[in-house]
Order: sequence, then C-alpha cells, then structure tokens
Amino acid sequence: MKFRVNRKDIHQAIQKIIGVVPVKTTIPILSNILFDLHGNDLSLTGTDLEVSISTNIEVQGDEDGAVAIPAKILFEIVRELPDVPMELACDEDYKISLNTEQGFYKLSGEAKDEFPKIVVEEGMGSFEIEAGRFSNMVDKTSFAVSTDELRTTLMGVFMKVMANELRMVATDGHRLVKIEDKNFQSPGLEQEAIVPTKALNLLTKNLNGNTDISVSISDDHVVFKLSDTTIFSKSIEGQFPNYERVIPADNDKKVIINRQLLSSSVRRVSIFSNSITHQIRLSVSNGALEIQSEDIEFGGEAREKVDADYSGDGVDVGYNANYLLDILKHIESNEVELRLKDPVSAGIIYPVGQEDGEDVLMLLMPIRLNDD
Amino acid sequence: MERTILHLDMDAFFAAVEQLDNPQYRGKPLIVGADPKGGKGRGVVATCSYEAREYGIHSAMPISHAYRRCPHGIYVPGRHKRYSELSRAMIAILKDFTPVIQKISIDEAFMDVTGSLGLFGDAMTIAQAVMKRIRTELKLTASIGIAPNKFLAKIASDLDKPDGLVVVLPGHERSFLEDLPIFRLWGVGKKTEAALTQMGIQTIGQIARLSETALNKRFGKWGNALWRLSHGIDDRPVESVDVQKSISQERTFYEDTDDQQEIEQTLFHLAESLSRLMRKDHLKGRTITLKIRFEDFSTFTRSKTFADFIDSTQIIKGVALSMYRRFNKSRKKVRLLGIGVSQLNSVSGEQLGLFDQEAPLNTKLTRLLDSLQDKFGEDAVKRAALLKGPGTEAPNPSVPDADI
Repeated sequence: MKFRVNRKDIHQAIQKIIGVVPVKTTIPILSNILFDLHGNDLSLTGTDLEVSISTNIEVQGDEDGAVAIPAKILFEIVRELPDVPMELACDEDYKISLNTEQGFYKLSGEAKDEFPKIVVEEGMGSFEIEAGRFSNMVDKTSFAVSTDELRTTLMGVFMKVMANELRMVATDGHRLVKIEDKNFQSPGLEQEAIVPTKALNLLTKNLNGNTDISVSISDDHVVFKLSDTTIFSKSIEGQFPNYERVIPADNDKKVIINRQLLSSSVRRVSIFSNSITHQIRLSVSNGALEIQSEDIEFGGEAREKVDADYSGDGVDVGYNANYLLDILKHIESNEVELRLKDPVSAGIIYPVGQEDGEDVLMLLMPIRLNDD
Repeated sequence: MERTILHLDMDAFFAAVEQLDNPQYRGKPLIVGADPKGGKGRGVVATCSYEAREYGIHSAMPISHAYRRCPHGIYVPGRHKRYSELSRAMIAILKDFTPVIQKISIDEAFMDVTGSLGLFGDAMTIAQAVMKRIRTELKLTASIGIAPNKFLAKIASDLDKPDGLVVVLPGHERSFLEDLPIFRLWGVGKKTEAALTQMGIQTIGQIARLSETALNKRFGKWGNALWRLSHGIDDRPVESVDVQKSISQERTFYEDTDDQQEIEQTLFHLAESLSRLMRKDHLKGRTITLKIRFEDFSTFTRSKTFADFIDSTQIIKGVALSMYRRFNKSRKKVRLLGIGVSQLNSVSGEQLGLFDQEAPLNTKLTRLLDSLQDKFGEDAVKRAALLKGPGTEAPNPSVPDADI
C-alpha cells in the first residue's frame, strides 16, 4: 500500500475515527485504525467491537493495499506535523513508513485480516431524516441516559420507528425523556432499537455540513450513513423498560413558570444543598414556587421565591437539583409547565408551546423528604 | 509530642433525647428502635434508657428479645432529625474548645485539645467545662475519657457511664489496661477473643506480657497491632472530618491464596457484612472500591461510581467480583481483600426510582436475611454462595479488620 495525501485531510479523517478507538483494551488490534486503499479511495476504520466508524477520503493512490496502523502514535505524529504533503507506504511485513519534508517516521502495523470485520446484514430497513432534526432529538434525550452498568438496557437511547412517528426515549431510572417527531413519515419501516450513547455522540460530532442522515435498523444493529462516514453500532440487547406505564396520568397540580428564572434560582439554591445528594425542596403555593435547600452537616441554608402561575393546594417535593437543571437546560421554551401530584410521585415537565410537530415530555422522580 | 485526646460519648443518646422531650418517659424503661409488634417485630434496638438496661436490654439486640425481657417498656421509633439537631449543637459546644474534632457517629466525637491546654486550663478542666455546658445547654449528659491517644480515650469514656469522667495519665497506659478484659481492645471480635481465651489469656495485661514475635506468629500482622494496642500505643491522629466519608471491611488470609473459589467466597462475605452494616446505619453509597494486596505486598484499588446510592448486598457483591475478575487476570496469590463504599449519604431522603416496583424480590430477600441474622447471629442463615461443599473445612480463617 502506498499513497500521498495532504496532512490536513488525513488529520481530519483520523480525528473522526480516534473517538471510537479504545484507550485501554485487552484486545491489542483494537488500538489500530484500519487503512484500506482502492485506487484513490482510502477508507479508515476504527472499532471497539460495539461501535465502529468508517470514513473515506480521496488520496493520490500509488499501490492498493491494506494495513492496521497503531492509532495513538499515528494520531500524535500527524497532529504535530505542519500542513505539508506526506507519503505513507507499507511493505509486505506491515512495516509502515511515513515520509514528509520534515523527515521520516517508521512504525509497525498489522495485517488487515487481524482487524475485526464489520459485518452488516443485508436487507436492513432504512429511512432518511434531516440531520438537524435527528441530532436535536438525540441532544434532548441522550443526557438522561444511564451510565450505570447495572442496567445495561438504560445505557442507550430507545428509538422507535412507526409509520407516522419517530420516537426517542431515554431514562436512567430517576428521570426520563420522551420526544416524538409527529411529522415523520416512515418508508414502510417499523422497528425499534436501543442505541448506545457512544454511537449517537459519534454521529452528532461528525455531522458537520451533512444535511441528511440515512438510518438503517435491524434486530441487532443500527447503521448511520453520512456522505463520507458510516457509523455501525450493535444495539443494546434486552428489553427497554415499560416507560409508558411510569408516565403519570393523574398529576393535577399544574404550575407554569419561567424557565430561566427557575433554572437560575435552582442553581443558586443548590450551592447550599448537600454536596452528595444535591437535594432541594420545591414548595408550590398560590402564585409562587419556593425553592429551598439546607445542608445539615455544614449548617448552610438557602431559600428563594419565583413567581408562578398556580392556584390550588400546596405541595412540597424534593428533587436532585442537578437532575432538574439538566432537564431545564434541554428545554427551549420560555416557560415550562410542571405537573405534580404528591411528594413521592414522578413530576412531569413540559415545554409550554411545543415546537412544530414535536412532542417533548420529561419526568423526574423526587427525593423522599424527611418530614418526620 | 505528648498529645491530650478527649473522647466524648453522649449517654444513651436517643433515649435521653426522648426522655428530655417527653417528660412522661423519664425514669421508665424506654426503648428506641423498631416496632416490637407485641413481640413479633423485626429489627433491632437503636438505644435504650438506663432503666431499660436493667432488664438486660442493649443496643443492637433484636427488638423481639427486648420485648420478651420487658413487655411493659415504652417502645418508640427514632426521630433522626431531632437527634441530628442536638448532635450539631453538641459539636458546636466542642468547637468552642478546639478546632480538632472528629465526629465518629451521631453521639460520639474525639477532640484533640493538645493546643488548647494553655487557653482553657488542663484537660480535666476542659472536660468538666464541656460536660457542664452539655448539661445546662442541651439538658443531656455525656461521658468523657481523657488519654494520650484515641484508643485509650475511647476505652476510658466507657468505663464510668453515665456522666463519667475517666483520665489515663501519660506513663500509666499499661497499668490502666492491665486488668481490662480483652474484648475492650479495639478490633478484637469473637474470633480473636476465642483464640486468645484458648491461649489462656483473659486480660489486656496478659497480652502485653507476650512477645510481639509470638503474637505475630499466631495472628500475623494483626498480632503486631494487638501487641501495640495492649501497650497502649496508638498514633492515629484526630482527623477533623465532619461527615463519615466511607465504610469498608477487609480480610487478610492467614495464608496467601490463589484458590478462586475461596477468594470469591471471601468477597461475597465482605459484601454481605459490609452491606448489612450499611443498612443498619442507614447509609448508602455511590462509589464501590475493591482493594487487593498480593503476596508481594503490592496493593491496588479499583473503584466504580454509580448514579444510584447503593446498599444492596447483591450489587456490592457483583461489582466487587467483576472488578476482581477484571483485575486479577494473572491469578496472582492474594494476601488481603477489602471492599469499601464511599460517597455516603445518610442525612437526606432517598432518591426514588421510576421502575422501583420492578425489582422488589431481592430487596425483600435482603431484608429477610438481615432480620434473621440480627435474630440468630451471622452464621444462622447464609446465601448458598457463601457455603463450601460438604466435608470441607471452613473458609480460610481471616482477620477481621473493620475500619469505619
């Protein structure tokens, strides 16, 4: 294999891949990037066996071939080089040499056969969607995904493709986001999958300039295709929890409140909350919402009042301030509607005035208040 | 440098608070803890009044036993918010005498007054002033031990309860410990006690007369620690932490081992006793740490942090085991294993879960095991994974080294 390329082009391509290459791995081959050259078309692939990413760039090809190159060293040297033309060549013993006007660099690669093959099933159903719309849905959901390996099915965004709706749901067991795109039209595909957050993050990071995404889903894989980059991901195995069942239908206390005011109040009050639980107390009464916190161990205390549109019986609910702030940050409307029931039931948070064709619902479970 | 350490322990704290707030309870046997449900209740005694102690009731006793001994006693549930409030007031008083305070539980604290002696007079004067302020401002009593180190101060505070003040003067450590029974030694549990009794040893003074080498031969590193303690030597500083930061348990194998079954059983056992302790103290934590010391004394820790606060045996066990398997791939011989839980939360309410109803079985099982073990002792019921096959010896005996 031998080709010439501008340092800037190859640097950009490696940057796309490097995010998936595992830093520590018990399978050494995975710390490589596979280079595969056909004519002037060079493809670069990285994988951690769960998620893989492939990107194609145009080079001046001199000799077809393939080799797996240690990602870290390659990335570091290419990053440090100025924008100069470079030549990369590999002999039959997979010794790689990189030549630039600065000098030459040699390292050892591995055969293509050593590198895991990315097998994609034939005949996966797929649909096209506007990149902005899709990444907006991903942004609004993926923050709520669990990072606990205790419940793997919560470690990704649940995606459900229906005839007239695309739905994404994410939850870590304490909060939940459900977003529905009602303008969506499926080309006959009806499928669902739990997509690992890593794949979604790689996708949104690599959207630059793409207007459309093609999404393919099979029983155990999801594939996202952009113009020059493809992301393959295993779906997370297992049953996503029955989220519909936990969305309360009888939350009758509706509070309308300015999102920015609430959010900045919560941020200030939470400074005085317990540093481990971040517990704050929301007390709803006619026309106002009071936010309080105290840290028993350190004797700190804070209290603020925000005007709110509410009339009815008062209710007190404890929340983790960080969870509430996360939710408020991922809503765009000026006002939010809190729908509460009692101190131990999930609170619903809606944007007031939903975006066109978009339905967003966020749920937050309380922290039990110690009111004995 | 010679240090002066005070250990303060509130007398029958929860019960005393209840008697303070409810005059009708005064002078009567009062038990704070689980609901006895006419003798059928599960759970344990948290604290009881001195009147109740006359019936042989003590803390950590199953509530049903307490009820049998004293059915006419007054049984009340705890009010932790009120106790925390008074505990804070207690600490505030101590802070007027020294900034070096280590709160070790809701009703106990160490004070290092070495630097305050010039300001307030000798240690005795300080201790009496503290006791007087607790009596007048909180209307409660406390007992204090004064000694050159934490270990002796803690023993001393317990010797003349309630409202007691016991001083161990520097140079008198050995004579103070001489006739005390061995269970008074920090860290001596049932196993060590049995082993020492078998050697004909009943008092701390008798331990002190053994050579350090002999103790090391019999108990390993723990033997050296025993020797030091029996001589009244303890260099641990008073660490001014306001909150309990972590809880952990470790075991040192008598012989280094690479028997995977034995190692895994030990991890199970550690997880089991640690999580039980956590549930008893109403603690949950977010970070689980595994500690391994190999035969060459190289020591490593591996941690994992979760979004949830955890106290479940099952989860702690599973996480520790998976960290162990991932770490010791080469199956080196292990000398010591420990599990710790940090990022603890005891002060606030629990974060409720959306899908809580979906996993109740394990929680129920855990609660049942806890109450059976409280009732009949740790060995009465065990998870099957902790049992060895028929005809084999008990697991490699190991040294308990609880460290909170």
